[in-house]
Amino acid sequence: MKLEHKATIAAPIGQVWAFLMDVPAVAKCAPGVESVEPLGDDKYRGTIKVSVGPIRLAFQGDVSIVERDEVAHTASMRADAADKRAGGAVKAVLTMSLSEVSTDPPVTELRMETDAQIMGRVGEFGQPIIRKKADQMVGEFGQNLSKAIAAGIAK
Amino acid sequence: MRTFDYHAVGSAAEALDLLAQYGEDAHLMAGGTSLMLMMEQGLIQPGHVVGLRSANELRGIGASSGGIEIRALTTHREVERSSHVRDYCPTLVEAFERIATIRIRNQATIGGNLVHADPAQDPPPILLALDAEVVIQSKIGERTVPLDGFFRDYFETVVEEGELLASVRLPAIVAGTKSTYVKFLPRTEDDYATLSVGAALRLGADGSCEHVRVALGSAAPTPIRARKVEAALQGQRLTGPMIDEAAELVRDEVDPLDDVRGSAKYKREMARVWTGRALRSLLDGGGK
Amino acid sequence: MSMLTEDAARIFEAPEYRIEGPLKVSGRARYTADVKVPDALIAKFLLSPLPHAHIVSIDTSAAKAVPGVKAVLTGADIGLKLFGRVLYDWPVLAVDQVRFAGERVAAVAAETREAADDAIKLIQVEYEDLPSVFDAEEALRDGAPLLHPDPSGYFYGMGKRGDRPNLNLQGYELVKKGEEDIERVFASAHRVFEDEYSGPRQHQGYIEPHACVLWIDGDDVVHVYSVAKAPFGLRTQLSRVTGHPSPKIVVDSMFIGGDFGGKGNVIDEFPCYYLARATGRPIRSINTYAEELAAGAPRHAVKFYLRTGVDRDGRIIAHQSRAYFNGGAYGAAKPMPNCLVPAGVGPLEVYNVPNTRIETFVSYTNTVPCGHMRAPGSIYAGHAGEGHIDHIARELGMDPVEFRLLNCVRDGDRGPANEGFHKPKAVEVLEAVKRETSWGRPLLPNHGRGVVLRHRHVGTGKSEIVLRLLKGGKIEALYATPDQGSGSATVVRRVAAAVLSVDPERIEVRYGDTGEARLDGGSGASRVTHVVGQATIAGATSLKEQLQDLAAEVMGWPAGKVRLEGDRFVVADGSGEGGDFADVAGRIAAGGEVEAIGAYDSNTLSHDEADFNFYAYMIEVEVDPDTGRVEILDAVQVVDVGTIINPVAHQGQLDGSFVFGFGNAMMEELVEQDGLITTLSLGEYKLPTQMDIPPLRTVLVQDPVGCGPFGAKAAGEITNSGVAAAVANAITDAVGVRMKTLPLTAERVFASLQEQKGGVI
Repeated sequence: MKLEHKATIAAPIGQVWAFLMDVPAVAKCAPGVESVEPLGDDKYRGTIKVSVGPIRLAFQGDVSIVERDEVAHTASMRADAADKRAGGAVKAVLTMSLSEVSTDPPVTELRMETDAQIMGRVGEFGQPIIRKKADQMVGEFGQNLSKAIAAGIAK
Repeated sequence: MRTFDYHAVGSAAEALDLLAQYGEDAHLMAGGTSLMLMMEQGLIQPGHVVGLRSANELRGIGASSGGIEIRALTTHREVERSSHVRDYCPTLVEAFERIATIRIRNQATIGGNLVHADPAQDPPPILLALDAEVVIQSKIGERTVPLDGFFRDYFETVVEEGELLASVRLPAIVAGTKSTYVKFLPRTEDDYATLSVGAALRLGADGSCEHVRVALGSAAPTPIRARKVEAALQGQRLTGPMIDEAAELVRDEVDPLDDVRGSAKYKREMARVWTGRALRSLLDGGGK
Repeated sequence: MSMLTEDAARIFEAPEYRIEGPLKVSGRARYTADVKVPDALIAKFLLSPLPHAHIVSIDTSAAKAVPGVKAVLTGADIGLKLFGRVLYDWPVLAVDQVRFAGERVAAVAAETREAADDAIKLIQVEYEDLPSVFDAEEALRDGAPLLHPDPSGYFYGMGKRGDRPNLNLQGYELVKKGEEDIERVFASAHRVFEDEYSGPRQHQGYIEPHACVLWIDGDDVVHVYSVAKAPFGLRTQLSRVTGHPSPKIVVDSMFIGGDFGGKGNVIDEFPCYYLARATGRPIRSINTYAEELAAGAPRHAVKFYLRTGVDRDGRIIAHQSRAYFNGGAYGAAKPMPNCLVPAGVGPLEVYNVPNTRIETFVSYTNTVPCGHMRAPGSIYAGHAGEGHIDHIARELGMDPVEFRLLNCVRDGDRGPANEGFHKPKAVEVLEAVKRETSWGRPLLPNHGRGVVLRHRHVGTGKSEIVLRLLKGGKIEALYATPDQGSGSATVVRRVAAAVLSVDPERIEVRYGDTGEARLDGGSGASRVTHVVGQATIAGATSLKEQLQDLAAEVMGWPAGKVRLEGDRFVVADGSGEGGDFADVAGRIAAGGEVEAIGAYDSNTLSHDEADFNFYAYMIEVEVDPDTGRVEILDAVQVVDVGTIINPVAHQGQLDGSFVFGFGNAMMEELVEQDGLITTLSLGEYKLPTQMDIPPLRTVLVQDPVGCGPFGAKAAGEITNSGVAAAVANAITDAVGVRMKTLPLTAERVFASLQEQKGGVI
């Protein structure tokens, strides 16, 4: 499934880029993230909790930066995670690209394209709702990112 | 499915005790038609299932200040066959007759249905159109909340840990109010609705709209009221074209899922079509 | 024997009681999942989550440590073992590579389902993604990832595998007729029409999931309770895959809980054999329905490109077709030569077309391997071909029935693939449409009618049946055709009784496993009534002769003068002598066993003119233009039939075909995204229910000229393939849009109507 989101951030493109390269900081903006530990080599291990009503899943897995282009301001991250209890897995590639909307005041647009696959038994439970939930989560992630970057600048 | 301990309780108090004792590891079960599927899929794995079927105080249908009260463990089939409910509002009977199959209706309950909070279910839109309230019970007492506001998100309601839904109350229906429930099933008769609409309408002596309710199922993460549509009609002298125009507004109120029952785009259009059709049928003297 | 005798007519018209009926309605019919074997372990499989990947490593140590787990096997343990029906290209357990999401990577046998489930979750597999291809046509483009770059080790059970222009083809076929340079004919045509049609993967929708119970006894005999509808075929495959000698494999598939084509392919028996070997215990495997939907062998998704030229009179002079079937990751589930889907040649199968060029492509893709489903592929060939024909007729300003009458095959004509027809009934069924339906009458707004003309062959093959006289005056008919609900046992009883001229109650039909009964081709491909019925005639004829001779012997009647007729032995010498069947048969039986083997192989007959059931539909619909919802108001199926042996079952097959085709037409679609099937329950993949079934009327055009017993034809998979085309054509008639993609959902009709209006939603 493919999801697209946009967020507008009141900060210069360079600052936004710098923040995005700080994976633990970025990960904290994702709703439900419990822990992020660096494994080295642009690789991190973490846990994210997702709940849909009474269904509570805890996906454990690895996130790595698979591509980064500092000039074009694009980067992609790949996540592979599994929920052992219910027996399900997620594979996702998140591509983020920045573009300068204006320099004064500094405004940057963040575009996020997510390509995710839900596999295993979790997938038996209505894919459409999973999609909607994922869409909500990525949307919230974008908003949290904007806030976190704005808060970082305010400091 | 994981093995679990099953506790058959005889009262709401007993159930609440067990919820307090086992916390997150306990799950209430009414009819079990949805819970068992989710447990079978491994999505919910409670260590303790608290079975409410023998809690007779949670069953039954009775009068309540001019309206009726349907206790949470009443099955859909009991609602459907109740002369009490039929006298109160025949549309409610019709809506319950449309739920799934007779086998499911014999097992599933009104309380379980509402707490499950699946936006594609049949009871919520008609109950919203009739201004239902629900009574939520906990060890410290009871609280009553309007059904409009009860649903939070997919499979999520305002019922908190340590609480249970005890009953559904429906207020007196003012004479002259007509209601209808339409369920759009383009695939098969035993499918979930692609879209459903519960509506109620009362016209004054001069033909103006005194009271209007429009609620939709399968249209958003929760069952919803179409307040913009209602507002556009309230107090107006209604005509067919006016209803069609108001129904257009529902497009902005819905947020449907893309699924095998239709794309979000299509469901948005169907929300408009069926809102218009439901209200027009009431204006034309249809409904009950 | 094709003449309908008096005995046959009387027996076939009598009230019909299903032999297996009491067992089924009382719950005593034993299906595979009902088989209880002491000490059986539960099998579960780890499925690949990815559509195409290299397996870097598999760690089963944690899984093996789960209490109750008796074996965890991977491809490394059993080696590369390939299975299939004709082409053996599907690994029992993946080795190094997975080619579709749902492929089996590991097998677990445990004391309980919970332990097996836990173990599955604890198997650690490291995968490395490989590039995937999901679309049948993309798979054939340059640079598409090759799924099977080296097929040299694949066993192919039908001689030499046909030429394939691309390694990503499971099979390819080009059929030509008439002028070699078909472009010249097209150039001379008055008009040329082109259309594209497509249909999705669909699931057979049987209620009973795939299951097997398998154990190896102390004499090293492998016993298999299976849902396989061709138990002898399974025995051959299992032997070839495992190396276990075929005589030491016994397959029992007595009752099958729904087939619709899906039980021709079975996959559990192979890993269960290795689990049984590894543990020394019986193994039970019962798939979940999610596994069935994700990784069964559904009907292929297909796309047809059609091009047809007509002359000034509206006669079809040239036809070209290309069909692209999405075969999935393996060709193993298909029983036809070169993994072809026969309906590839079928869009214009009922028309007399002098010049054709018809290509069928069956691609390998990284999706679920596809197999057969009730008249394989024919629904899509019908939807495409009959939509195309309807389109041409309307463009030419001709009535669609008249256009079909002008072009359909008649006695002596040959079809587009040069096939001959034995007494084709195309004209008769079309005339019945004109006579017996509302075709041509005035219509209300948004109402429309559609017609369809199609056929289905009567199946072929070979089978043997044993008829023997039992003590007590009963006659046993022993055969190995599994019962998937179509009533073949009652056909055998009635045919045997008609030949022998005895009370049908005397015939005791008994199912035998592959160790006991004789060779049978399995219950499928519209074959059983014809093939098993003719074998029964052969056996009953032989038994009757023996009984007549033996009656003369034991009763002291004149030799050569005894006739068995009307449930009595009579002496045809004018003496009036004779005796009750039971009395005389009792004396014969006391003297020793009397047995006859009936064998039949239709392939030994001339096939220049094959038998077909032609049929037509006339369906009237109403389209709700605001929602796109289509309601069928009237459906008439006109069916060319031969002699009817079980009238209730026969009508049941025709009614059931309509219902089946109705579901295929209106709602059924296995949704695939990035190679993964996402409709994983019967709540998402909907089948029609009784409440949905529109009014249906059947008109029989009967002539007892079929190749089956007493002139019978087939019944099981005729009219299901025509519903989609008839509804689609009726929608065009009602609101002007042509629906070229199945299923005909309300949303698709709505979107087409919006497009027609020039609006965009």
